[in-house]
Amino acid sequence: MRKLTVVLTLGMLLSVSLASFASRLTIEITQGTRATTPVAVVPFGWQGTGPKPPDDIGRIIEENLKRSGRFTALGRQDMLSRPTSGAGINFRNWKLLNVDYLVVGKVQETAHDEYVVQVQLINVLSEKPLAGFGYPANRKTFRRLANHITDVIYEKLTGERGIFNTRMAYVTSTGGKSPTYHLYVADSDGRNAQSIVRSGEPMMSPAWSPDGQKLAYVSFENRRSQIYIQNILTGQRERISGFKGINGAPAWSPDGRRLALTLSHRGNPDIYTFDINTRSFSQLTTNTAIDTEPEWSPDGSHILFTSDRGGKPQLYTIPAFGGRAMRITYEGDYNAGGVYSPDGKYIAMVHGRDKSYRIALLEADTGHLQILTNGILDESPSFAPNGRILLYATAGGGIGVLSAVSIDGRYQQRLASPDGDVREPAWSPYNQ
Amino acid sequence: MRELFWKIFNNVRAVALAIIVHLIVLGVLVVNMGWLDSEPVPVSAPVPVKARVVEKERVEKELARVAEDRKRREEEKKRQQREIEQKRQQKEQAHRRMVEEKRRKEQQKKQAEQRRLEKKIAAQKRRKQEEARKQKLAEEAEQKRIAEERQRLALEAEKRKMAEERQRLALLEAQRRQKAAEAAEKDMLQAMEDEENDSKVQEFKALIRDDIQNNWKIPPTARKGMECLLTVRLLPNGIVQNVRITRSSGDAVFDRSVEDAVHKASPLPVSSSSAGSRLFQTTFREFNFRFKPTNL
Repeated sequence: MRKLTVVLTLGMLLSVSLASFASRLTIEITQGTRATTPVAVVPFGWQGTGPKPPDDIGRIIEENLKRSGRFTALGRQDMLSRPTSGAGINFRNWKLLNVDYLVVGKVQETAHDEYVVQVQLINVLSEKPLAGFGYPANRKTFRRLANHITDVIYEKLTGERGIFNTRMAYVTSTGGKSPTYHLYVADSDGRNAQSIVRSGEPMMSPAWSPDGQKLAYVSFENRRSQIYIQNILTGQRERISGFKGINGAPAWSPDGRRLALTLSHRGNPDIYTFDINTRSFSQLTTNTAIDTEPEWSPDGSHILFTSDRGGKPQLYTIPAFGGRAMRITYEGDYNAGGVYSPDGKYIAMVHGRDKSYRIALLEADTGHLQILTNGILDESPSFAPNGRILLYATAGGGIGVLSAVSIDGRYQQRLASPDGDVREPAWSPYNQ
Repeated sequence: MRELFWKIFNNVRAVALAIIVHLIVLGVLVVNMGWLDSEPVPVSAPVPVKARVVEKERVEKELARVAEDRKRREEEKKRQQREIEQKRQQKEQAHRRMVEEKRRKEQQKKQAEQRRLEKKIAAQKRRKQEEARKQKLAEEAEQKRIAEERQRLALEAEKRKMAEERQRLALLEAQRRQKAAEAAEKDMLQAMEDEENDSKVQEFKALIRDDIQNNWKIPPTARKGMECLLTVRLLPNGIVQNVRITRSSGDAVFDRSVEDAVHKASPLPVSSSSAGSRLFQTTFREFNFRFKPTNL
């Protein structure tokens, strides 16, 4: 008898709780914004007696996050307090300053040139810690560590992989009448640049292998264009193409087995593919117009290239093993240097209009074209491996400098680079 | 010379023999003569051997008599010894009998004691058994009484419960009748109020929706078809007291973005109207959001 009563009571409670969601008012939310997320990266605390760390970790993280285009950062001068750990955070104040997420941390010296960096990511809105971690560091690794920490924070907040610990390659020239050319590899923010090739003749079109260990590039070191593949770590390199005429614009297939390139030894610049194992070339386009700047689609099925077969340079695609070329750009007089975003949804290009050349983004599905930059001579767009940022060179002030723009165009930044004219940047794949 | 020595020696031997025989005879005489009794007899005056031979017969007689006499005395002596032995044996036997008698008596005494003890124990045992039997009977009686009492109480409780149940049902029926009567009267008024409330609910809903949508940053991970349900609890001034995800979208960043939107929009616009606390209590103290982006 008592058991029965208990069962009945439980059943009633259960049905009441099940009914409660349904019986409560429900408000449907179908729209949102694409606004940036406001964060505050508080200057990191310092505990130690030796020399201070060479890099301002907080500043690097802040600049990295801003450059992604997804975040705005509260200026240091506007901070009411500067906590270095998650304890005793005054959430009310940070909310008043419209901060959604807080990055706090400190650097502790543990021995000579040995540090521990501790970081906490705090959700101000729900007043909960979101992540906390500690890393060892020394003076040489601070910068890389700051980039790595940004990657972790970025992925935690956006669900996307961060690109701050990746690298970029670009070419510079210095000196007036007899310039010196360098092929550089630098951190994703342009710092920590290392020259990997130095030459008295121009170099062009660096292209990363999919494993991030090799670069293909064009060198004029023998007074004519030749294509080389060079291992970044060992410096070992091999020449893969040195035909008469143009040997240009190498691009790696996504599986790393082939290169697409431009050759003109048969009289007219056409697109070819080169099999790295068999060392054999096959011709892809046979048009009488100029076909150049090949790029592989992310699935490797098509090759995107620039051609003036229609009278003006425009972008076309062609199946990677041959077939009919298809024009994909129609807006403007000049669309060249196209590259696919890693997810294949967008194509970035140099878009010429009214005597200015800017970086534009074409949405592959809709054909919608959006101009992202406002320079007069912007060139060589290159996607970050997460597809969120474009790197490009801009020659506004007479010489080229490195710049980055988020793919929604909202955030642009000029990057640090060595002296000289900087050209043809290429963003590396994720570090492997 | 030697011959001479032997002649002398033979003579001496004869003389000595004669002397020994005389001595023996004399000894016998001395012993058998009462008057000599314990007085030593001087032998210094030997009797001539010739005289002894003459008296041989008498001596032999005397010798036989002496032997007889000695035999008789020995027998007497043996008899006396037998008597002594007999007496000793008798004495010993008497002693044994006395000891035996003493032992027998002690044993009898012991057996008597044993029998007495056994009797005593048996009596005690009987007494205890009797007591146990009596107690058992008493307990059985008590249990029977308790069982009867219990049965009586149960019966009474059952009766009481039935009476109460009847009463309760009657009361319920009365209440139901009354409510039905009241409801009929209230229906019209309620319908009017509901209508007014409903329009206010719609107004608040729109305000809240706007607020949330302005504060929701759709994350990069959002995909078509993602949906997240949450239940929100408010304080009367609209401040978000608690946000609880009741159905996850399956994506941590998406879930956090909708939670953040609700926190960021706090306080929600529910207190700005004069609708008062009743609407808040019934509808906006706790309600749900369904986040489902349509244009991605």
